[in-house]
Amino acid sequence: MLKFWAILKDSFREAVDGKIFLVMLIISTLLIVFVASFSVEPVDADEAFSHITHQFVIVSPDRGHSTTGQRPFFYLPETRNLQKTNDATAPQQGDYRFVLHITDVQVEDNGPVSAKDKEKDKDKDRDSKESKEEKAKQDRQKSQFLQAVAYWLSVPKFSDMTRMAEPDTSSITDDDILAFVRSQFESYGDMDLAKLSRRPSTEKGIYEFDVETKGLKGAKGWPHNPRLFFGLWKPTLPLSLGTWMYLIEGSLVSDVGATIAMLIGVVITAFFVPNMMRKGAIDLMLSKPVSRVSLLIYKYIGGLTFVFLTTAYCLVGIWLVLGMRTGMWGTGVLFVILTITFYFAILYSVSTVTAVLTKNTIVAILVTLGFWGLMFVVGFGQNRLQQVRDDKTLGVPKGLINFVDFLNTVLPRTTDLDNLMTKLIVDDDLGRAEKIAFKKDKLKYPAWGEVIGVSMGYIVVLLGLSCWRFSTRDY
Amino acid sequence: MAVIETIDLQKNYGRIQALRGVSLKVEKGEIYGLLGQNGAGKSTLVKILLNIVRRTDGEALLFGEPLAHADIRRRVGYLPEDHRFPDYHTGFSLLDFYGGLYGVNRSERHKRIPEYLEMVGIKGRMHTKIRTYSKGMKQRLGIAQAIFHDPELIILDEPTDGVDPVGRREIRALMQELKEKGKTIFLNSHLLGEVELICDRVGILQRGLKIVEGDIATLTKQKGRFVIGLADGQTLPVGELRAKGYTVHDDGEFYEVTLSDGQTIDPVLDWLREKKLVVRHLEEKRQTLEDLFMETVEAAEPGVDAPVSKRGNMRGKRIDSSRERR
Repeated sequence: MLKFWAILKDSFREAVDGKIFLVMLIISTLLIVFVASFSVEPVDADEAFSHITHQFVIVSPDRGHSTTGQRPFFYLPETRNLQKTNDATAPQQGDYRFVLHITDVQVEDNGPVSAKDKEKDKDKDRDSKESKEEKAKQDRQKSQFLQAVAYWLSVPKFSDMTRMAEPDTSSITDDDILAFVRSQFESYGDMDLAKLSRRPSTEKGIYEFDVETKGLKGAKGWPHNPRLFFGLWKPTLPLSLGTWMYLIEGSLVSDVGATIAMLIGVVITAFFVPNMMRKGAIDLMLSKPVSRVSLLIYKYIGGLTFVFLTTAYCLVGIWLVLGMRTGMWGTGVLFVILTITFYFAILYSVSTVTAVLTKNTIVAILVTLGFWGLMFVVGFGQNRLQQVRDDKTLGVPKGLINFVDFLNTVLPRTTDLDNLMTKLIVDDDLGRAEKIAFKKDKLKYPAWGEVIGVSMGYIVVLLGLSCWRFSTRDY
Repeated sequence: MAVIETIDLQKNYGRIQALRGVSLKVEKGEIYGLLGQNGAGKSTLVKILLNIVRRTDGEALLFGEPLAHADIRRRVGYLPEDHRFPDYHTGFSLLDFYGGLYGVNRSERHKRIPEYLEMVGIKGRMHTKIRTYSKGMKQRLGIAQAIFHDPELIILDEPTDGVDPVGRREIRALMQELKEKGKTIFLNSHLLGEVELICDRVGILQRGLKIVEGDIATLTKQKGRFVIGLADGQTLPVGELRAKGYTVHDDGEFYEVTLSDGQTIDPVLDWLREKKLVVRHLEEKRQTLEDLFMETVEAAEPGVDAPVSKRGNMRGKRIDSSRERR
């Protein structure tokens, strides 16, 4: 163990010696300070419900579960007669009662026409009873609100989604409509409704619902305005708190930050093995009572530790300041530290085997980045093909699908890992509709075990090759 | 049990034969010097002992044990030639790191580091980065790291390379001190004068073969050559002595008398007494190690190893030559 710690410490000392490490720490600290300068302020109930219900026009198929095919429909949701029914001081903790008023819009070939405008034209059609019934049927089919409900219920093919096919509204029931409304509240407001009932409406094209909400346990789904640079800049941009958290943790940190951290990690740690193998240095190391396999593995772990510690510094810092600022203490972002480290472990195994074979730092960096790029391309292709593989009308060659599937099976799952990393944050931060909006629906995620298993197998093979070569060559 | 033992040790680098069956033994407590030209195979032999290079054939043992076990190297300290310490370390942190690899615990390391750096004369710079050290300082640090974990065997490859004369003397004294403590020292060096001063035994490698081995006194002794000095104003009758069958060389102040096989110096001394000549200086002449080395290797081409086919033809010659010398 003493030897392990000695090499670990040495690797860290080597990394720290380079100015890049210092730059990395400074960037991380600036990022933490920037995030610390961010805060949010909940909007009042009127604005919040207006913001939430206006998003109802965006509908995801498969009862809101589908990862793709989210599309808008033309109808107008409004909240009316909003009343607070408890004494909660924070707006998101209040219980509310209001009427959800939906004005439908029917789409004619020459564009959308409102239900009220449509009513004016009724007289023209009164002459014929048959044509009246036929017209009602057509009106129902053209109702954007009912189309939204039908689309929500459907599981469309990719080709239907891309050509915006009109869903069939003929079999929609009142229960379907209530389920749809309830689902939209759940999706866009993270709200479980205490009561939802449909009001009888005398006016055609108008749908009204009596709604009672219960105060939110957290503030995740409630719209908040951002306050940046310690409140110096107060833009009006109401988004749910979860969305703000996701934008910071998911986009800023997990996507951009992790990529930069790994890129720098690849560059810094690529020096470890070639430096150790330099003439004059390797003699000193090999003369010590440490087996060659242990030496290389310890060096490898040293590289991982470096990335783990720098990532942990950045992410724990951000988690702490965000938690203090927003009160949201989801732990997903902390697991991202391990996920980034594991992701880096895949890249570093490529760097290590290249370094052992070539003893050249530049080659190790280039090969690792090339491998990373290849993984991205394969993962991206696999993700795209996933959406169209069962839709024969698109004519994607089966051979191409099989080839990409094969590559994805045998190569480490960096893209899957990236998706899972995002999932950790998404699960903490976003409501269901927001997840879909960010294309992060859980249905799309691969299993952790499979991703880690395949990737780990790859690491073991590459490290095994490195150890074999390192152990058998003369220095 | 020998501290180092090699039996018919061989190493090929592709078609190049770096070692062609070297057998040697180094006993506990002795300072053994391995000499040879560049490319003679000295460093290869040392690297095989430390498992840095794998042997092609033959056997090599440390403390009677095979080299494959990493733990055996805990008992060995090593200073390689052309070493390159990680320059992000300070002298202190380097010894701390290497001490950790040898299993020396933290408190012991921190106690020993200033002592050992003081011993090699760089304690004042122990907290500055190695990249700022002179070559001599790095060499001193190298010696410190080789002895830091109190090994039983210390292998030094050109330990005084780049060290000034005062430093060299200090290093020699240190080696002597280590020998007195019962340590075994295996020394590779080109500086024959130093080797002669401190080594108990030497071996000379030439093109991968051990051509000479023995203790310094025996190897440098020149049997049958005596230097005689007479009292002031007296002159040796050189012609008469030559007439008796001795080879005499008149050096002005001294006379070098060479005896033939079976002759001794006593008849010469008796004859001088009879002549009423007073002998004020008499010594059996020795050659320096450098003379021995040059004489031994002069026939060989300097520098790189020859290909196998060539070397194969020379092998017999060299072995014969070494046998003659023994």
